[in-house]
Amino acid sequence: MSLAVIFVYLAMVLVLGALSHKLFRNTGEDYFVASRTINWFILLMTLFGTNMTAFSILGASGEAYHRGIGVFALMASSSAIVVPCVFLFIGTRLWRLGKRFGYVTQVQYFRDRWESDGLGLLLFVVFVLLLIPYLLIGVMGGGGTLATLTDGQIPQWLGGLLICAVVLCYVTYSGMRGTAWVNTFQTLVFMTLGGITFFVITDRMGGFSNAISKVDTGLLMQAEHIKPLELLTYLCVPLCVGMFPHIFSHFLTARDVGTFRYAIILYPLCIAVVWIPSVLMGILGNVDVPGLQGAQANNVLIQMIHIHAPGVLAGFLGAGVFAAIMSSLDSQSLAIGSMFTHDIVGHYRREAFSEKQRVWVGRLFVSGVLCVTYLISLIATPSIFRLAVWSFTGFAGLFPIVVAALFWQRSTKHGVFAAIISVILLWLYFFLQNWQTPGYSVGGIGIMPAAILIAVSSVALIIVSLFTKPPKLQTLEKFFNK
Amino acid sequence: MGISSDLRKGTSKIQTRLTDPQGKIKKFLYCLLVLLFLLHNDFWLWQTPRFVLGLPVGLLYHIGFCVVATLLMAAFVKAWGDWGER
Repeated sequence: MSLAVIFVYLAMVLVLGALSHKLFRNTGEDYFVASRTINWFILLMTLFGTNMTAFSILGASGEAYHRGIGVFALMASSSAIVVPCVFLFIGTRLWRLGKRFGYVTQVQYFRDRWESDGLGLLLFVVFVLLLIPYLLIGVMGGGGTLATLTDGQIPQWLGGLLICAVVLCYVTYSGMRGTAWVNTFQTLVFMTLGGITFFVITDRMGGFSNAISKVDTGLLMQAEHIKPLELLTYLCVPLCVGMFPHIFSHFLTARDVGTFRYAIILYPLCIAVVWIPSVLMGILGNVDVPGLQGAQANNVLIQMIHIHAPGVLAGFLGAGVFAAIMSSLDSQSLAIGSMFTHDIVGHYRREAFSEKQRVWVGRLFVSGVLCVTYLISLIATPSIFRLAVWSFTGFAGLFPIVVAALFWQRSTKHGVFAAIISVILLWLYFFLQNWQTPGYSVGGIGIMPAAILIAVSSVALIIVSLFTKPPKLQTLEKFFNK
Repeated sequence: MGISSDLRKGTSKIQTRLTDPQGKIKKFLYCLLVLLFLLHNDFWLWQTPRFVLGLPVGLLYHIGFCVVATLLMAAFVKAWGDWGER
């Protein structure tokens, strides 16, 4: 029964992707940024859905299983304030620049802003390397979830293949518009199904009050599991949203700058709707399935469904997890395909391709990205999940670059090079030393590595910029209307 | 001549900002935003496992935080001026 629900869901996704193709204009701008025509509701749902991964459903429950209610403060309410600020202060400005100069990727903007091909190329490489593990956890996590939900009837490799195949179909066929439509549907699915799962399970447990009264009090307060500095510096982590290439692409799809208003206002509420049930279910998991160790807790929700409501609800949960995974995977693969098309092929061989050919090049790259991701997922070990967590840290460390690009005229390409190099070196240092330590913090006192990366890259950017030649007046006039 | 003209322009810009009611509202909102970031660190509730409205008080506080963030963002959007640009 659960398999039938999942297959119905996947069929609906494919139909929606196919329907959106009716509006396709067969231009590069339409394929990659939906001709900048997306309305406020779809923008809100795509921005939110793209930021929510399987972690928001399964990983959040697993974290809350071990660390209690503090997980909501740490990972949800921090995003509820930081991310809308990024949309307001960064997103709207990037939309204006994208509209005025026809940008489709971040690299195009940064390359122009600091007049440096080398800088664009370095950023391209860094973005792709940081995104690959993020793509991989989607494919592997989805396959693993399906295998667990079906008791191994569908092996992990087949689940991963199913996800990649469906995403490949609607992203290559309908481009950004298909992705945005499907994302909207997927976001509604996982927002609704998370709530339904919560109410059904707590009802079977004899009501929420009854169930939570059996939980260890240490999980109902933050003091025992979260360090004060961790809560403070965790606010730096959601800044990665400002540097995600797929979020940049979604910014550019907005019909007008007013389209951002509802995404800015409603994002914190959307976060609460998804994370409250996930965190509470994780805590209640201690009553149903006590004694889970480490990453075993990431399956706590699936185990609770097996106990209380197998069958249809398991199918709903599977569909919800697939929705969360695919709504990120599609945007990320489209963004990488777009970067290859515009930042490499388009930039170095612009005259070699017509508009229609560019769309096909984009499709080819999206297919390539998904195929390579799938093949790597077959040989990658589960330790890749730890690497993916670090990709957020890397993107957050690069955040000062977009701030400097938009707000600091005196910033120079050398300053930005210094910032990127400092991020690469520090990221490698922290990662190689500590990637096997779950919940690592600097010095063990709760400071998140992202905070150090942001501080050091900001200092490097400022100092080197002040000691190097300012950008040309002509460039500043172009970007700052001097 | 150039410097004094730049100075005059700068002074009038500052005067406009100081007297502009929209500018004052924005400054007030920025202060509220900083306050909200500070209030995210609810250390006074850290060792309290008691329940309010059926939920652990620490969790309820952060749910309320999300609601306040929504209201503050709505105020920012309202104060931000022209959203009609295409």
